[in-house]
Amino acid sequence: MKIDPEKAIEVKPGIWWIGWPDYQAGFSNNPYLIKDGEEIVIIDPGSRLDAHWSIVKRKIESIVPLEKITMVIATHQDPDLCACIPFIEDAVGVDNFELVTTDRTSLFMPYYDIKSEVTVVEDGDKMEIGDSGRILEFITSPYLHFPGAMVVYETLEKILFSSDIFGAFSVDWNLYANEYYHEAIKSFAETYMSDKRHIINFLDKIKNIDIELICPQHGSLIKKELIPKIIGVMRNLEVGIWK
Amino acid sequence: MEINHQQAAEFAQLLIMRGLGLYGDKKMAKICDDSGMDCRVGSSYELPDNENIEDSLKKLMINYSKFNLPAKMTVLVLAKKYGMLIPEELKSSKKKKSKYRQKLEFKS
Repeated sequence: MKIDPEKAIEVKPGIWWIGWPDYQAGFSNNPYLIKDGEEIVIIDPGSRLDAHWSIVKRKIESIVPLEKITMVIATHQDPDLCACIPFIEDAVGVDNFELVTTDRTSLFMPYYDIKSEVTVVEDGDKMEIGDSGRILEFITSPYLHFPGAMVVYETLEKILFSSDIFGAFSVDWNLYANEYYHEAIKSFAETYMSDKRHIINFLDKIKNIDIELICPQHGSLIKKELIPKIIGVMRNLEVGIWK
Repeated sequence: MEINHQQAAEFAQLLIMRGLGLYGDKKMAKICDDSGMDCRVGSSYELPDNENIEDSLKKLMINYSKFNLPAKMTVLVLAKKYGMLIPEELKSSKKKKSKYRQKLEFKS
């Protein structure tokens, strides 16, 4: 199937990729939108640069009006994930949407001039959204690559929104990972991750979760058939070697 | 659960010392007083001879956490390091509904 990266792409029923490829720097961004009934969830909406936000905004508005957003999830506080949240807040209104993140990450939200109250979640917390029994489970991923980082597991379609974990630099970008994607992951993880213990800790936490699709913040989406191989590569990564 | 007195004493000493450094004598004296703990920490620290020491430690953790979010994170990290039981009051509810759903249910 040919994919048009100019459009929002429904990767599973009710779940869209609303990101943008970066064929120059290889630092593609992958925000996601979940629509379930009247609830609209954006995961890691992204940068505030006009060249980036204009794309994400257009893609959101191709699905729902911006002011209908009910929840924004920040898996950690980096500007490539969070800097545009004030634009959403302007459209929806202060405290008219739920901003969800971990305690450590919540400390940084005011630095973006975000005025809305933050809903703090902890490891293993679950949140029911929408009308279809969809549950979002929040799983902390300490020190990958921020102490307060987390991932989100969506139970209905069995998607792991993995934040920077399983991310990759990808100049020759594709929406879906190919059989060589593990090498692209290495180039990213070796640069950003500092300690193998944290990777092993995280992989142990998710080892019993049934995952159909991994949706990272950078790089490509990983379908089920590639997941075992990629997890094997992650377990043996050499990280923290940058000097 | 039986507490390890040695570890609990080290935990309390460290938490109180950090509190004295970060929040000052007066605030820590009040927190220790409210929790039934001794605020005088030196090179060695012993838990007060108190039948309800587990309750005192729990109160110390909860009261300290009320300073602010970083204080709560300090309590959680040190509690993990020293094998302390984290009070239920410091844990989240685990299963939540989005605020949107709560509003919907409140209306109906």
